[in-house]
Amino acid sequence: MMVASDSFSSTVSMEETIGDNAHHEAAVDRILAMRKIEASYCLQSFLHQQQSLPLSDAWRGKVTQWAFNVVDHFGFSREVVTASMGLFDQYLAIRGNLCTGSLVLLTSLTTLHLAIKLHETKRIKSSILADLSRGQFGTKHIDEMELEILAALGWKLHVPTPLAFVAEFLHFLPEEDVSAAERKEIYELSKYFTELAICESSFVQRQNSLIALATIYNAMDAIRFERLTEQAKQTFLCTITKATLGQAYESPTFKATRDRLNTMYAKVSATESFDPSTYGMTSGYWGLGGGAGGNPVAVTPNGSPSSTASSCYGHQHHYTKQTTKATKFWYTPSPPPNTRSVGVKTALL
Amino acid sequence: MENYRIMKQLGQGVWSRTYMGQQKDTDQLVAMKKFKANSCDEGVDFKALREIKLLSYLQHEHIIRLVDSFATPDMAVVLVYEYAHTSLDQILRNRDIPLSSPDIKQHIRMLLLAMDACHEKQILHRELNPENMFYLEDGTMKLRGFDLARMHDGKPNTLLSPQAFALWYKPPEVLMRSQHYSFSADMWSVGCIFAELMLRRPFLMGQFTELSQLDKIFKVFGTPNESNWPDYAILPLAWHSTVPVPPVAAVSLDGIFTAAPNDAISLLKSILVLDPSNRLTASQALRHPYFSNEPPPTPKGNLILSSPPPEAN
Repeated sequence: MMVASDSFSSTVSMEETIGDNAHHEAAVDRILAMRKIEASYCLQSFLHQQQSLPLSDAWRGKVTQWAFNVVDHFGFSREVVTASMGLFDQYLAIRGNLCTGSLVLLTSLTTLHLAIKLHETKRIKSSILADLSRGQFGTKHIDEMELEILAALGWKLHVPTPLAFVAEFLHFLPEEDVSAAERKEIYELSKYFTELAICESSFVQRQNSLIALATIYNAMDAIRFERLTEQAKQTFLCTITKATLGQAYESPTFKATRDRLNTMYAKVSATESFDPSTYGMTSGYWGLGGGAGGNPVAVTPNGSPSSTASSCYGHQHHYTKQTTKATKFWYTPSPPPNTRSVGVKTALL
Repeated sequence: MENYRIMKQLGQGVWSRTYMGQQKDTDQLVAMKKFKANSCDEGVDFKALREIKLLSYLQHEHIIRLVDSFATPDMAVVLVYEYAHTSLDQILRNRDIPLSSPDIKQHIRMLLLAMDACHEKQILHRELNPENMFYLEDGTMKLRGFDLARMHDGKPNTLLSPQAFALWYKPPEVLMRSQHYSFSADMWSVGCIFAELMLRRPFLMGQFTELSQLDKIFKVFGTPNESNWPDYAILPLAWHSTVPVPPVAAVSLDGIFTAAPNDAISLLKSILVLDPSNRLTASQALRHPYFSNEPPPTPKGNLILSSPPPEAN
C-alpha cells in the first residue's frame, strides 16, 4: 500500500492537536522513572537528629553557602549545588556523619566537582578546586576522594533534584488558564523555594519530589492568577499528585515541609534580610575546625550573587584559620522573584 | 577489576577500549568499556559519569543495561554492560547474512523504540550509527554509545556542541554549526541508518570533512532555500560558502531506493528532511503505516544475526 508522506504528516498533525495527553503521559513516565530512582536513594540517618556528631547543621549550612558562592562565581547553574549537596549528604550519611572538618571540606570540594561534571557543559579543573582549599588539599586528594565517594555511593549518581521534579510537574498546568508569564513566575518562585530547602538539613531526609510539590503549592499560593480559578488550581495539584505521588500531598510531612518553607520565605520576604542563625548558621565562616562564633550578619538576598561571590574568595582562609572576621554575606539563594506582595501576604496569613 | 576476567578486546574508540569479559563468580559474559585514564586534571572522566547517570535513568528493553561500574587504580573508569553478540555494523558488512524487507522493518522499529524512549526522557543520543546498535542472542537490539548523550529539556536557547555525531550520520543543521539543535537531529541519524539498511551501505558518505558531508547531503536533498528550510540562513555556516552556487535540485529518493517498498520510502522521506522542524519524531514514525502494512516485521527471535554455519558435505 502506497502512502504519501504528506498525507501521513497531516494525520500526525491532527493527532497532535487533539490534546496534551501524549505530553502528559510522557511527563508521567519521566516522573515515575525519577521517583523510582529517588526511592533507591534512602538516607538512613542524618545529622540534624545527631547533634552530638561533629557534622552539625552549622557546618552543613556553611558548605551550602560556599557551594552557592562558587557556582555563582563560575557561572554554573544553581541546581549544581542541589546535586552536590545530595551527593554530600549521601556520602556522609553512609559514614554515619562521623567526620572531621577536614573531611567535610574535602567531601564538599569533591561532590561539587562531581556535580559540575554531571550537570554542566562547562567543566572545572581539579587544580582550581584544590586552590579553593588554600593549599589544604591537592588535586591528588580530590581525585582520590572522588573514587572513594563513587565507590561508597555504588556509583549511583542520578539523584533527581527538586527543581527537576518542579519542571515536570508544571507540564500539567492548564495552558488555557495560565499565561506564559504566570507559568514562568511559578517556576521561578518554586526554584527559589528549592534553594531555600537545600540550605537546611531538616529537608535532607524528605523526598525531592515531595519538596518539589511543596514548593509549587507555596508558589501558587503566593501568586495571584488572572485566569486560574481556585478550583482549577486544586484540580492541577490533585492531578499531578495522584498521577505520580499517590496521596503524599495529604501527609503531615508534606504539610510540615510547606510550613517550614513558608516560614523561611516569610523571613526573607518580610524583612528583606536574612538571619543565618535562624537556619542553623551560627558562624559566618567556614570555621570547620570548631564552632567559631561571630556576630551573624544579615544580608539582603536580593543582592547580586555574582557581586558577593568574589568576596567569598577573599575569605577562603576561613576554611582553616577559624577567624571571626565578618564576611559580607552568609547565605545566598538566588534573589526571590518579584512576587506580587499582596499574594505573598495572603499566603502567609 | 578483580571480579572480571578479560577475554579479548572488542574495539577501540577515541576515549575508550571495549573488551569482552566474564564475571568470575557467575561466568556471565559482559562487555567492558574502559575509559582511558584522564590526564586533563579533571579526575574521573566526565563522559563516563554522564553515561552512568543517563543509563540509570534510561531503563528500557532496547537500551543497553549497565551491570556494574568501577575504577581501576590508575583512575580509569570501567563500565560493565550486558554482553551483546553482534552489532548492526557487523550484520551489514557480512554479506552472508540476508536482510529481507521484514527484517529491515524489525531493525528500524527497534531503533525507533529506543529513540522514542530516549527522547521521551529528554535525552539526546548524538552518536547514532550501526556500530552502536547491538544485539542480544534473542535478537533484541540494544542501543549503546551514550558517551556524548545529554539531557535536553527542549528549550530553544540551550547550547549544544556541534562536535557530536559521526560524520555520515550528522544532520545538516549540526554540520552548519547550529548550537540549538534538538531531538530531530537524532532522527536524521535514524533516517541515515534506515537508508543504510535498505542500501546495505552507508547512504551519505562524505569524504572525511564536514564540508564534503554537507555537499553530499545537498546533492541528494537539494540546496536549502526559503521554501524547503526557512531558517537555514540564520545558521552560523550559512554564509561561509557551504551552500552550493548555483542551487542544486533535490533528486528523487524513489530513484535511489529502487527495490524498497513505497511505504518504506514514504517513511524515509518523512524523516530525512532538511528542515529539522519538519522531521517526524520517533513516536510519529512508529505510527507510520509502514509498520502496520504487510509484511509484518520479522519476529526478533527470527532475525539472522550471524553467518549460517557452512553446510556439511
